[in-house]
Amino acid sequence: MVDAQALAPAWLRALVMLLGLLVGGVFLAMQTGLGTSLWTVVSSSTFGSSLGVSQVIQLATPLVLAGCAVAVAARAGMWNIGVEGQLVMGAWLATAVAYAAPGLPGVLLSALMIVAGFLGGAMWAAVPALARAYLGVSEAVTTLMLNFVAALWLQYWATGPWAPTRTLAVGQVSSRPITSEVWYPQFSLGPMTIGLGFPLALLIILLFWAAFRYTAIGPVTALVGTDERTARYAGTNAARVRWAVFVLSGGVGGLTGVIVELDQVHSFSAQLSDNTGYIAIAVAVIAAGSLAFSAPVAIVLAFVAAAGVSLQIAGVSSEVTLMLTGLLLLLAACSDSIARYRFRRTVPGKEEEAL
Amino acid sequence: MTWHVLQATLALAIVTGTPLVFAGLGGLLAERSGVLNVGIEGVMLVGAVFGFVTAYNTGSLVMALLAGCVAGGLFSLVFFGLPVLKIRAPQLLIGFALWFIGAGLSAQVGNSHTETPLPFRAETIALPLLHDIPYVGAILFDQNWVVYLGALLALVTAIMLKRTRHGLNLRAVGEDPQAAYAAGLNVVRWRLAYVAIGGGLQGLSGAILSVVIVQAWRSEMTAGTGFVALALVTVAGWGPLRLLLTSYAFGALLVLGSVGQTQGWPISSEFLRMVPYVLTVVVLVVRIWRERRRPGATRAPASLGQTYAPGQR
Repeated sequence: MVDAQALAPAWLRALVMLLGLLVGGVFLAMQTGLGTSLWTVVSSSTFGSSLGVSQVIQLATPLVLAGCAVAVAARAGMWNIGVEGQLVMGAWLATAVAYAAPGLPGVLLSALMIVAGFLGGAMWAAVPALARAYLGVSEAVTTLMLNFVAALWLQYWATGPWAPTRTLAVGQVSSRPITSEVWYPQFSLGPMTIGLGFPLALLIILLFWAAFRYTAIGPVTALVGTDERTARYAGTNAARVRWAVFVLSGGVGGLTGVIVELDQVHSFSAQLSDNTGYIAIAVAVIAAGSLAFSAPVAIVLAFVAAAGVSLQIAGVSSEVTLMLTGLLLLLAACSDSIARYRFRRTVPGKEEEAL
Repeated sequence: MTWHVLQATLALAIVTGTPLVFAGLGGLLAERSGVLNVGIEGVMLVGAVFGFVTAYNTGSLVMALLAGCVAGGLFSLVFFGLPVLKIRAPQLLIGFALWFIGAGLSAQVGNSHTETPLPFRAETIALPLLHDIPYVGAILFDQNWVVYLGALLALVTAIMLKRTRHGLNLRAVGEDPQAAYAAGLNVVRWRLAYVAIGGGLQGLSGAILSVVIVQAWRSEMTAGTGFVALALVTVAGWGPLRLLLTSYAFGALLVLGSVGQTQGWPISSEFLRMVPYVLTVVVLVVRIWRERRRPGATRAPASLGQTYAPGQR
């Protein structure tokens, strides 16, 4: 439940993040035996070089979008754990469109793919959304389960009907590439290279921020999310709001997949996601469900991921970034609960809901 | 497919299902106490790596399994039990954090042990008399002892839950923590204990996977087994014996998938592997649908996943 009163203040949140990064840094410095030179290695591969900045931005692109998807659902008091699956299904439908209409001009085709991506993600979220809104089935569990179905679906299409004609490296799962006409252009900003995906992701999150800030969507969603009984009393069809918001969230999840495909991966591939949907939960929790904060948080977590890549040379396994992300998620969730512990008013007869 | 191939396939199905039995029972016990841990995968990985490293250094299977069990229990207690039950953080989020931390920690610990062979092999034990039963004997009763241990544990858990005072108390803690609290049970301590016990079984499950079945360590070697276990607990309706059977059934499904691939069957293994996940969603929806007409049909522990604060009504 994201409850405005039950969240830690922003300064505490930032402090906790810094603490987590510090603890992780000290652990890694000891593990690798690099000591203080750890920082030189990390900074030169992230914010300290133009190549590093490009890398961080590339890794941040899916996290911004997926974080947005999780945050949208969290606004209505629901956990969209299924971004991982929605991004696969969005990319699947978009890839199907790309294969079906090879003759179209690139701009038109990529626009169609974006629409297909949104629809694919939204459709994948529809069943959990309806089950949650009308039956009260925990959306967290159903979306989590559907992620694994989507991952297997990807494996089936990428190794079966859409398999590439050339043989791939062992362990690589990828379809044949989509036409290069739809690939997003890469812009050079001085020494840096930035794909169209990142500004597009920022634009989408800005649109959602504005919609929640300046239209009725925001307050209605917040009302349903925090107090469904009051919402119904005020004449809101709470179930309809719930499933509409959740399907929208799934649509953004689908957009994540198709934008990463167009911007970076260029095929229907297991590389579309590196636990993006799950790290997005950390993004939304650390950003306290705020759309405005989720972009900077996504960049911080992308920094963690990029640092992990550079440390692999120093004998650190690639999963260490997951550990650091997990630690940050743990600390953020705990700091919220500690804040609640101090200030909460217990209301007799009203049960807390955790799922 | 000849009879011998079928026999070997089904025997392999039981071996494949065994880590699911242990991990699922761990999840089941914690869920019966009202705690939902989605991070089973992370606990299994921690158990798998500590089990493997111990096996590598001591050469003892028992020591390895014990190490995996203790590592899993401690890891769940510190990174899941304490945040969830003492700080009252949301179970769902801490569960994901647990998975991430477990995946990273195990990969780091096992980094130098990747693809090193074990100094021993786990042998099968043919149970006397039972092994000679025609047809099923060779399938069920010529297995490694951990397979028997898993089946026995499911039976013991079922009896404990249904027939003992301890089991009744455990169910009370999960169904109605306020009433259990009023009856003098320390709900937080019960749940902490069962988070640790559940984590221990999941760590054991990971160790079985790395030491007995795969006999090697790779990072993220569980490849979703923890999530399958999570799914099967729901599919089995929180019943230990039903969990045992569904675990073996899913083991059979996995083995059939790989057999089908070599035999060129028209159905892809991917679709077979989707079954437990799809089934979980269907079961959840159908049970809640039925609950509307017949209350109590969901079978889920009533307080599952909810944050508990002592003395709060």
